[in-house]
Amino acid sequence: MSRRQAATSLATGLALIVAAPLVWWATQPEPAGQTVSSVNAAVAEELMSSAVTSGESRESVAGPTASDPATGRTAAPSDTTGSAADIPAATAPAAPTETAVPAPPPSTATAPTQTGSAPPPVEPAPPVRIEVPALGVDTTVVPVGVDENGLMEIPHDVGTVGWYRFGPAPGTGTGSAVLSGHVDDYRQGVGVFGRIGDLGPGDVVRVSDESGVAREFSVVSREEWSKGDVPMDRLFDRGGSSRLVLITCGGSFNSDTLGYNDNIAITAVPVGT
Amino acid sequence: MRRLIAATAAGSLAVAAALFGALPASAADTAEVYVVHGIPGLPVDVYVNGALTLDDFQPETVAGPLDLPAGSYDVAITAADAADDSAPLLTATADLTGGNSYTLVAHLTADGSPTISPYANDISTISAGQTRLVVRHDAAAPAVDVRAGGTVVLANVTNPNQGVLNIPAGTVSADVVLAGTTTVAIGPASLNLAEGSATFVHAVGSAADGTLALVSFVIPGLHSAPGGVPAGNGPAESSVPMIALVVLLTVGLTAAGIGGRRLLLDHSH
Repeated sequence: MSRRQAATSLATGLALIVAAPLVWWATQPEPAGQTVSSVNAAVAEELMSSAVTSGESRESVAGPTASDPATGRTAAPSDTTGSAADIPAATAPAAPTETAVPAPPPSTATAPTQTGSAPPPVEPAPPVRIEVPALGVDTTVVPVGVDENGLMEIPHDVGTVGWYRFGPAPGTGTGSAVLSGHVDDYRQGVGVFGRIGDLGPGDVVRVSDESGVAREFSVVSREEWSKGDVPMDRLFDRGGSSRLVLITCGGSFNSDTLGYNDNIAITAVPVGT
Repeated sequence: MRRLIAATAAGSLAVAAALFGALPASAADTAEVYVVHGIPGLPVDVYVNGALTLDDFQPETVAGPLDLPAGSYDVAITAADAADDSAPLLTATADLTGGNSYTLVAHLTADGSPTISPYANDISTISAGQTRLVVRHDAAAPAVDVRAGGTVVLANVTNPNQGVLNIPAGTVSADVVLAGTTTVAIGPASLNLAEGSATFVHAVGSAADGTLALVSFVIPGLHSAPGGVPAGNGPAESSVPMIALVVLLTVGLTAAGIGGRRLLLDHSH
C-alpha cells in the first residue's frame, strides 16, 4: 500500500469514527406525539352540560311533580325478586287542600311504561368501526373501561381504537362519546391515532355501530393540554350536546416516565347539527 | 296476619349527612326522600304534615323521590282504607337538611314489630368504572351476611343497619345468608349494578312468616371521569441505530488502523 493510500485509509477511517455517533443519533426513531395549535376550544366548551360548568357531579334529580308519576329513576335492578318499583301517584305535601278521598288506584305498570309519555329514545348500538378519510384511517373500535389505576383503558394494539363504554355511544342524543388509541408504542410503532392532531374543523369522522348504522361527525375543535390540565370532566361529560371526542397523547415524550406530557383532543358533532 | 300494635316511632333524621354527598347546588334548599314499604300484606296511606302523600302504597314497593323543602316533617302511616290520619299505625318526625337524599323505610324490627327507619343515602361521587351497592337489613330476621357471587361482602348486618360497598360495575349474583352460615335467607338475585349509579337494596319481610323479599331502587348520575388517558408508549425501539454505530465504528477503526499502521511503519524506516 502506498503512503497516499495509507493516508486516505486513515482519513476515511477517522471520518467514519466521527460519523458513527452522529448516524446513531440521526437514526433514532422519532416519538410520534404531535404538538398542535388549539382551534375553536371555545366551541368545544359550549357543548358541555351545565352540570360540568357548575362543578356538579350529578344529573338533575327533579322528582315527580304533584301529578307526575315517577319515571325511570326508580327502576329496580333487573331480576331482583319481588321488587317491581311501582310508583303510586305522589302528591306534594305543600297542597293541604288535598282531601282524604283516596286517589284512583295507582297504575300497576312498571316504571318505564307510563300512559301518554313518549317512548324513550333508542340508544345507538356500541361502535365497531371508525373511518377518518382525511388520515386514511379505517379500523376497528372495541369497548374499553377503566384500568386498575382509574385511567381510561387503551387497546394494546395500536391499530385498534377504544370506546369508553361507561359513557354514551356515538350518536346518542346527549353527552360525549369518547374514543382513544395509542399515538405510538415502543414495540409496534405509530398508531392509527398517531396523526389526529392534523384534523381541523370540517374534517369528517364516520363511526359505524354493531347494528350496521353509520353516523358522520364533523370536527369542530382541536385542543392540546399538558396532562395535569386536561378538562377530564368536560371530555367525559355524559350530558350536554351530542358529540364525539377523539383523544390521544401528544407533546414531548418523557423518557423517565415513558409517557407523553400532553393529551390532544378532537371534538366533532353529528353532521347536521 | 300479625296483629299490629299502634306504635309511635320517633325517627329523627339528623344523621351526619355531610358524609353522604350532596344534591346539585340548584337543589341546595330541598331534600329528596324515597319511601320503601317493607311491611308484608299491609297496603297503607302515608301522610306528610297532615296531607295525604302516598295513597294505597303497596308492600314491597318504592315511592319517590319526593322533593321537599328542607325542614321538619311529621310522617303518619295509616291503613290504606283509613278515612284520615287520626289513628295512625306509625308516626315519625323527619328532619330534612337541604341538599341531602334520604330513605324512609316502613318495616318490621328484628322481633317483628312495625317501625319506620330513616337512612341517609350516600350520593357522593363514585370513581370511574365503579358502582355503589347499599344493603339494608329491614327484615324480621336475625343477623345476615350479604354475598356476591357466593363470597361474603358484608358480614353480620343486623336490623336496621346497612352496609355500603363501592365495587367495580357489573352484574352480580347476590344473596343473603344467615350470618356465619351458608343458609340462604333471600335470593339469589341477579343485580345489574350500573357504573356511576348507587343501588339501594332493602331486605324486608318476616323470616318466621316466610315473607322475606328484596326491595330496591337506583340513584344514577353519580359517575366521575377517569383520571387520565394514557394513550402513548413512545417511539418504536429499533436495532438500526446500534447496527449502524457498530458497523461504522468497525469499518472506521479498521480503515484507520490499516492506514495509520502503514504510515507509522513507513516512518520508522
